[in-house]
Amino acid sequence: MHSEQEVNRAIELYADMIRRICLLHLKNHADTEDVFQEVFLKYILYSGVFESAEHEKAWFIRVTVNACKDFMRNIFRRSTVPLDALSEDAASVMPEQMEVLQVVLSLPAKYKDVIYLHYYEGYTAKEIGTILNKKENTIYSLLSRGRELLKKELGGEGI
Amino acid sequence: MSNKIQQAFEPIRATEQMKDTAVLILSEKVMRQSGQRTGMFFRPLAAICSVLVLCIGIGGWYLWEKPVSYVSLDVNPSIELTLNRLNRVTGVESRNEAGESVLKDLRLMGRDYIEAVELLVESDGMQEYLTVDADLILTVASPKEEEILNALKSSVVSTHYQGMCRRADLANVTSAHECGMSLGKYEVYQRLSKYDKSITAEECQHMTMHQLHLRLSQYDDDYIESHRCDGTAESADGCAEGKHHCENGSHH
Repeated sequence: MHSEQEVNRAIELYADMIRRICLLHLKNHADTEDVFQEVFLKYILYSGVFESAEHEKAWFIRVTVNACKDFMRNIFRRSTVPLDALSEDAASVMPEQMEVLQVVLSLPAKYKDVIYLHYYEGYTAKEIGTILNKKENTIYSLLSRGRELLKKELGGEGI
Repeated sequence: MSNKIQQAFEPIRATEQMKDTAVLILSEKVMRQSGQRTGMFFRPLAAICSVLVLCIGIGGWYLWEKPVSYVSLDVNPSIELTLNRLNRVTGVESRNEAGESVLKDLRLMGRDYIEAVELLVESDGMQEYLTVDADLILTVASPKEEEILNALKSSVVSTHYQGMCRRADLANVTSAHECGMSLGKYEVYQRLSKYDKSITAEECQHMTMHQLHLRLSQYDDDYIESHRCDGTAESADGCAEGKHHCENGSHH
């Protein structure tokens, strides 16, 4: 079980990343808060030892992705009317950035994590495969297909 | 694309309110969970302790509190002692006003029954009633009646005060109490009512043991002599209803 100090440190380190992963999966701010709390509760209760900071970060990514998926598996959640997940961030996001975000968020679920982890977090296909427990080749395929969809939507500029 | 995606995601951050709420809610949840864990840890322990306490309670009650024997002491004061398995006094009750006054300054609870009976008989209150013509009757209802009667026969109650000891049926204890009488007085009432149908329990309640014996002697001359603790009597036939056996034939 992690101490209060460790939890505060983890919140400072990973809160933003968790918020971004939640944005990929969840439909509104309230759902994000629920998953956000659940992830850190799991961290508090986690009795394993992290070998390194990278190991810890990968654990947070995996737990957050799984928590989001579990959350969305709930039939009630799936049937709720989706709210604009970006409404709260509208003030801090530039219009051109908002367009990119909306395109990424509109991708089929299976591409979003891979695109985010690769292009934002800088993970390689192999590392993403380890984190998401998928084959490296599958990650390559998802990255390739996701990239094509993004090019199609964004017109291939700067890609 | 990498740059564009990085720039797009960069402004997305967890708000301070989100972090603060998480810290607050997490501390509440952790406290609740640790409480549950503590509860889960202590639950089996608590169950074992409860069983132990229950066993000790039942065992204690069985050894100490459960009434096993009854000894009534009747002159005019009627007093009844309840004894536990260890022959210790766990209950003291007076069955008339005279008994109440005798018990007023006596502390008999927890004492061995012989000690309690001797204290009673030698108390100032009881001495007032132990006149020359008084009849001191000790009646025992117990699964261990032989042991108790023998001990009473060896005590000053018999050797010095010429008390008469009788055994009674345990089944009569409740009936005696329902009539508001001590076991000893009830036994005499039962026997007397066999000869005199007009006698009532209420009438008996107000008579001394000497008066009752005098009344009984009109019908049964041998009764008193056959029930002496000091064993001067040789034998006694059955008591009333044939179920009240009498102490007899003991010499010392």
